[in-house]
Amino acid sequence: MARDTGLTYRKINDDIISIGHRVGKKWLIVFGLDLLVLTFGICCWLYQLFVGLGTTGYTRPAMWAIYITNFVFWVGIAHSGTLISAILFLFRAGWRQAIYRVSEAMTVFAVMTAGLFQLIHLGRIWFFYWLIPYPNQRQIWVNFRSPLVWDVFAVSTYFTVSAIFFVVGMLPDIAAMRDRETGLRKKLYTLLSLGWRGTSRNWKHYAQTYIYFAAFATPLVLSVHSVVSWDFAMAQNPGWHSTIFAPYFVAGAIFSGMALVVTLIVPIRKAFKLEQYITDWHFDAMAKLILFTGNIVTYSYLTEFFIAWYSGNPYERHAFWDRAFGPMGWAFWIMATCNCIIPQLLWSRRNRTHIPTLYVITLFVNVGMWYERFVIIVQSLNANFSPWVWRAGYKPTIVEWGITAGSFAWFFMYFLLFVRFLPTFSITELKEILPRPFRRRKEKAA
Amino acid sequence: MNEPHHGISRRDFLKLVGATAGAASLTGCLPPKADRLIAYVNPPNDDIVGLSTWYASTCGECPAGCGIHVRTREGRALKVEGNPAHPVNKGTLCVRGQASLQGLYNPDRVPGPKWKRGGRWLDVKWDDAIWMFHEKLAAVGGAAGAIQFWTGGETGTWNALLDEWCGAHGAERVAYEPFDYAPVREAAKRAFGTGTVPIVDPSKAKYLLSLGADFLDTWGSPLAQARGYDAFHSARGGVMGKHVQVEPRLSLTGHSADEWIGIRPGTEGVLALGLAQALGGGGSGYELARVAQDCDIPADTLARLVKELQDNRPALVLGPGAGGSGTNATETWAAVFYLNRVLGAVGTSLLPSPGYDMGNTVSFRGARQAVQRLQSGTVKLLLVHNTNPAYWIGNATGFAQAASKAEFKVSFSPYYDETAALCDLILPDHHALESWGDAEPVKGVRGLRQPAMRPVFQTRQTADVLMGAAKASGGTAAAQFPDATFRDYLIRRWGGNADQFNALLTKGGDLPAELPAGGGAGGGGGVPAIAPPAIAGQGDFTLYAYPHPYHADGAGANKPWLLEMPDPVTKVAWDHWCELSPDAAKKLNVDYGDVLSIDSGNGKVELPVAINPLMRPDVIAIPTGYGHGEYGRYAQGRGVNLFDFLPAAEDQASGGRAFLSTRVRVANTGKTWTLVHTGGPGRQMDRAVARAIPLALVGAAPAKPAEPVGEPTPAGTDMAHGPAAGPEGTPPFLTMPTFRDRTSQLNGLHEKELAKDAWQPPTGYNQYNRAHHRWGMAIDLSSCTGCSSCVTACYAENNIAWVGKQNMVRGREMAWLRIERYYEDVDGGTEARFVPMMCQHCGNAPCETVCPVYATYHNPEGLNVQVYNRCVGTRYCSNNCPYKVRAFNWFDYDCWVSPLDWQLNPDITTRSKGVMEKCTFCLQRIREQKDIARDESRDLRDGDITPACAQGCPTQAITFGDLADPNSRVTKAAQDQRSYHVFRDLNTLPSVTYLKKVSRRIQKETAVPAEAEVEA
Repeated sequence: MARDTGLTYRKINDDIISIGHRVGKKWLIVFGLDLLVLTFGICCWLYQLFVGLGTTGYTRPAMWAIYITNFVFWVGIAHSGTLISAILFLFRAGWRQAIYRVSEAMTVFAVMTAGLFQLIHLGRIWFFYWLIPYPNQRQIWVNFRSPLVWDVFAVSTYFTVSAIFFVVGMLPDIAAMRDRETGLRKKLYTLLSLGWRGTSRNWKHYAQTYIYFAAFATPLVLSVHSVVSWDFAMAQNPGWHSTIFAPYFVAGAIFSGMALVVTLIVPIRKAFKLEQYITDWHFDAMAKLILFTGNIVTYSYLTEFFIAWYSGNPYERHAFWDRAFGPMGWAFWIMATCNCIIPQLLWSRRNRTHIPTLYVITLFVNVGMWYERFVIIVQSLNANFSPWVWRAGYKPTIVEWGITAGSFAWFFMYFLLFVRFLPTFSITELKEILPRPFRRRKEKAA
Repeated sequence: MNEPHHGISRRDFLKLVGATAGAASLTGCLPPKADRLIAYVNPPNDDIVGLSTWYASTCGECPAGCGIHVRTREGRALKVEGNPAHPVNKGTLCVRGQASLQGLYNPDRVPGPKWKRGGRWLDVKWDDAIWMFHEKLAAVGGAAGAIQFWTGGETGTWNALLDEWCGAHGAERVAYEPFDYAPVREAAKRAFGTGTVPIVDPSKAKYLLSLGADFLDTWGSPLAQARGYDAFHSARGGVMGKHVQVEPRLSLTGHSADEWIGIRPGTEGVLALGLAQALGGGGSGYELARVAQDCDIPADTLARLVKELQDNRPALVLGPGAGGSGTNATETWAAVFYLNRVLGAVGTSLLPSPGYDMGNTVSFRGARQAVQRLQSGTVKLLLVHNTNPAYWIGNATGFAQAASKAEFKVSFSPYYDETAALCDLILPDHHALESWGDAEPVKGVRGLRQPAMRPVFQTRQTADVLMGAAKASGGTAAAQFPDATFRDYLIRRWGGNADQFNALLTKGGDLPAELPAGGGAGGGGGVPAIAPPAIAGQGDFTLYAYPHPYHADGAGANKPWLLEMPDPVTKVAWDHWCELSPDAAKKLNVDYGDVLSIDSGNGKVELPVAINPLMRPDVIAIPTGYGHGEYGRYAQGRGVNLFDFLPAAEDQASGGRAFLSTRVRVANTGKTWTLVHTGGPGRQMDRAVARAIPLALVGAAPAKPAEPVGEPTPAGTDMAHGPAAGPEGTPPFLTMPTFRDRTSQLNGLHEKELAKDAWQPPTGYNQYNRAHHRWGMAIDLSSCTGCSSCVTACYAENNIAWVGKQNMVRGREMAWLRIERYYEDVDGGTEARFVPMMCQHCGNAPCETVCPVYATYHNPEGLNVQVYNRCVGTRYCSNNCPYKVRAFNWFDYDCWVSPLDWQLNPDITTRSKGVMEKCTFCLQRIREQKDIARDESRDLRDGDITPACAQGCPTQAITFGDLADPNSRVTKAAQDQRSYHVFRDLNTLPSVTYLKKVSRRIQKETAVPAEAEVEA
């Protein structure tokens, strides 16, 4: 879809490539603070490693809590990137072109963060490699029936594919940067551009590869979070053991991912004055997707409650009653407010295109989706089969909060580096959407 | 340091922050430091490393004098079990007996003789300490009354030696224990002329009315009584006596009762006389209308009781325990004995002669008089052994102040208790497990005590110290004690023949098969009179002070096992509490953990609330045993010393302490206390965890076929593959081979079994990898009294860590076995049901499929096995376990403060942080018995293998055995009409079968919600 935005090829090159130089001192301050939080998180994790997982607030029966919440949260975040870059690419949704690079970066970094929590939550992290099937002289093997093993495959596959997709998609842009930069940056870009020369042969291969990876990544968008959801659905715990989990988790993942894309893009757009590139049209489209997936999630919540009642299963009934009205019901109501009620504001076009409103809504969605995982994990475990062990005493400790904060810092550390050193927006695709007449006009002027 | 230390010091933390991530993560993998594996370098010739040596002895924890077998390995006592030949306990053992090991290895024992100089304890050599003792003894010079010797209530040779020694030195002996049954003994003297506590055998009765005696837990000889009670009440053969518990506060015994009636405290005697009168036993003035008013029991309830007692003779009646002993306790018991005579229980189920000898204690009154003499200054030398007056009667008599009048004070206590703290010299005695001795709890039952190991510390048996002192003093005293050691003295008193003595030692003593049942004894007389108890103080609540089931008089409070294990009634651990009825709690607007101030007028304490569902609303109940000022790191600073809080009241007739003697004002302080309270809502929430069957249906044709045993496959088939399609209509996919079949073969597990059955093509998957055994367990909920002996046994056997209060608040207790206690609303009140819950070793185990690394898998003998070394700690297994019986090591629990670690069972490991653990069915015991059977070239027999929990169970509610053997006890039990599986609707196919509790109070079984659908 070609839209007349008054842009030229040169301006695009100038604007996007210069982002890395425009960051300035503010970037350093933000990056420094980020590293500080990350350091604190690492210290908390080391403390946990030395003393034991007991330094967390884990309270039986909730043997999983914040770490798995974070894991699922970050895996979910990782979904919108591939959705935007792969599925929407295949569907030729034009509005993706301005934002897909940011969301792809977000995907890769979010998977890297999620993978950490698979390890952090282990009682004996130093044996994490036992979860990986590889031939060994000890004659031991993994249990392929365990959804945790599926997780290992799902997440590592997803990371590999999305990382390759990310790097491949950047090739022409990095080459463009290479051509402009000097010094160390030039060396870096030379290396990363893999000898891109912009020949038609290059472009042909690039286009083929890109569409191939888009096709390859598309099923992964659906499968990875399905597998993650099976961590829960395959267990028999009431509140977990449900066939709706896979679609419900995928919708939730896209919901949270889109929300975080908006959360990330709004400040970048403001800081680097990219209003010409990311317009109301983009936000409107993203907000619609948020509204759509948010309503799928809401429908799933209602279905869960309905089925719990309709099945007559006393365990399920109790679990869902406890979820809403039990001792930790506050978490459920935070989730319901943030995920079901607040996104309804997006029915209004004014809210969808009013950036501050949209920004605040996406912040609520981020919080709400984090709480969704918390509610599913902690509250379902608390409302388990055996009433003797019911105990709703889980309170995260400073160690858990520290590691959680550290994970955000870890994610933003990569993101800040990305903004500074890599093409934050796709120069190639932004140029593709420039209208033809405009191009011609430019040529005449030249 | 009250809690195991899991923290990290600031210094360590800073170091750690400085370390790089890589180096730090490497350090995390290092194994903990290696310790010495074998206790000594040159073992004795008869000691084979790796094999257990068992010593028969006598438990020293309470006056019941149960026979024990002490398991030792490489010279260290590891486990205490009941001696099956002993008529008191017949192989069973209570919580306190199990935990005696932690008294033996307590890190706060007095490690050697100590001399107080300038307020500090100095180490002295035994020779010097003995010399000091001799000097002081000589200085007193045998003047009458110049020595006061406080002892516990002792029986047997040691009691005789003490009397002899005191006689020889002109010493006054004061034997004092707070729970000395003085009123019972005085009443027995009046009623039967005996002066002992009658033996109680409920098995001979048809009806049991307990007016407050907690006879399954803290009153009398609980193990012997529990055995009789089980025969009386477990409904084997369809006959079940009725047990009615009448008391102000629901006790553990009340939990087993068929009916619970609240009574105004102190009026039990009136009730007994009223019943006697109504049953035609004579007397006057105790018409039921008056009794109903006095006791605050509805008259129609009383009329029904009278009718039931009339129709069910002989009926046994018991009086109140310590909690209900007021100033009229002797009269109350006299009335109870009188009622027993009317009901025909005397001589059948109530056996006054010879009765339990509780030692010739002096009662509270005698102790007070002794303290007055101490106060007067005539006593020059104060000796204290195995009694703790400073804790028990410190406030009531001013013991500390009086003791300071004595010139020199010697304690023989193995622990730094409150009384030892007042003394000048401690000559620490051995623990009972290190001592020689004997006990004669009932005349004619003579149990021997022998050391199971060399002393842990530099202690000396007090008997030897005393004999040595007598010898040193010369003269007549020396002549009285010619023996070189107390052991020689013991042999001489046992007949003088060392060979015979040794033969008796191996048996545990001179033990008849059954408790001697003397005649009904004489005495009798008219209808006793009774006065209302004098209850001092103001306030809406009567204070009901009862003995703590584990800590009792406070002696258990230094044992972490007993602190960690939830109280069987309130399920509170680590902390002291006060109990309120739900109504009273509502009135005061308090719930679990809210702190109440309790003001008796001469003292005020604050305690957190626990709620007891069956209690009179005008009663506040508090257990004794807490509030130690001394007594080691575990006991100190927990709660309130109730002995100090109670006024110094006594029972008029016997001089025993009146524990029921004060009213209190109770107010909500508005503060809260983090109270460890396990057990969720305490209700089953319609989940049919603890099921019951109406008594009328027992023995009747079952409404539906008995539930499948362990697995729906025929006995003898291998269970490792999941079940074949069984009568349940098991989904066919469960019969498909699973990956674990092949891995277990690859890993070379059970080669022997595999070799026997050569591998065949998998035409029928159950044909290969066939195991010979299929281990299973059956637990009779009708027998379980909730005493928690099994839980302690499990801690002792399996090296289970205790985690301390802060971790228990987070549900991190490591117990492999817990007693779930559910209250159920039934006709006419609330019924309690106990479910001992451990790993169910499911045939179709949810934990196994979700473990990513096969750390938990199914072995061919049907056990669900946890491989600690393989566990990476995802905790998924626990999440997927519907029974929630898996415990995770959140830390490297360094709770075994040396020498507590000496108790660790070398047959199994301790677990490191990050690893899941759970019940193994005592795999090490299975292995041991298999080895023995192989050595003897025979097959395993039913009953060879007894897990620790089943071994000590006072009512033998737990049966373990081979479900593949159609004739084993466990198979029979599992085929019982009452058998069921918990959460059967989840198709986990557990190996643990529960037998429904038999209830008089339900008309039909509660429907199991999800089951109908599963069966359909």
